[in-house]
Amino acid sequence: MHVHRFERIWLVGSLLLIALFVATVTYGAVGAGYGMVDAGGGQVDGTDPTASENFREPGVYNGSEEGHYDVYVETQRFLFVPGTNEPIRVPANSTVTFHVTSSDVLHGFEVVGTNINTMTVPGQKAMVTAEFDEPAEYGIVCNEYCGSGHHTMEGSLQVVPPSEFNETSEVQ
Amino acid sequence: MLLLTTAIGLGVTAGILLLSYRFGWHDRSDTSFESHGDERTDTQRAAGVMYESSVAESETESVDHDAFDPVGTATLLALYFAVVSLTWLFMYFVEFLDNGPTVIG
Repeated sequence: MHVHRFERIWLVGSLLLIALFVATVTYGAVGAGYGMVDAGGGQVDGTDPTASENFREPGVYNGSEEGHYDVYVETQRFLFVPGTNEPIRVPANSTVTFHVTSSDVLHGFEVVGTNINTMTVPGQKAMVTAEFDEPAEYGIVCNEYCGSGHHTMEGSLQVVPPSEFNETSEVQ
Repeated sequence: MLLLTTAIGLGVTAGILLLSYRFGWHDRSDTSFESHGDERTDTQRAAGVMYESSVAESETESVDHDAFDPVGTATLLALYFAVVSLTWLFMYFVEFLDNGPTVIG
């Protein structure tokens, strides 16, 4: 079977392009450390998550190391605790792990404009970690239908300059 | 306003169709039942034949598979290839990795 020279060049080029795509995604995962939400959160009590070992009172806590924070969020109908009545505040240049669960029905927890996005399931905990470099304010929406007030369910996440973040009063 | 736009649009389309039928390529001797092997219309004479089957086989010439290099197509494809690669690199590294908080675990 005879293949034209140009066809041969094109075939090689296409395979190299595919290799480039795979290499960039691999670099993103391995080199730059970017990941996806996974199922590692574990289980909690379906109606009273705080009673479980896996969960704590909603709020911002100091994490495993300097600059790391654990934020525990409960989603209810139709508010985020914390998030709706008071914003979630973390300092810039921090790594934040969100521990999110629901105490009634399915909800969603999405930091708008980012890929921090997970369903919150009663009885299970979702763990999502992200780095926040710059001060900014993000909205949080519920993107999983949860009832008549679903479309009003929202909250906010404030990444504040470190000088404005008071460790003693804001971290539990 | 919408009605006016629709009317104008239909009118323009009808005009284009009419003109393309009048001045475009088509075999005008379709309805003839006798074989007119040597007759060609004005359009056919001007543009050259359209089908290989309308020319006698003795007047055709074959070329090798490799005799023709589609350089124009190759250039166009090389350009598309470059655009796709650069856009991929831009989207992945700039718009995704470098743009805002992203999940790391």
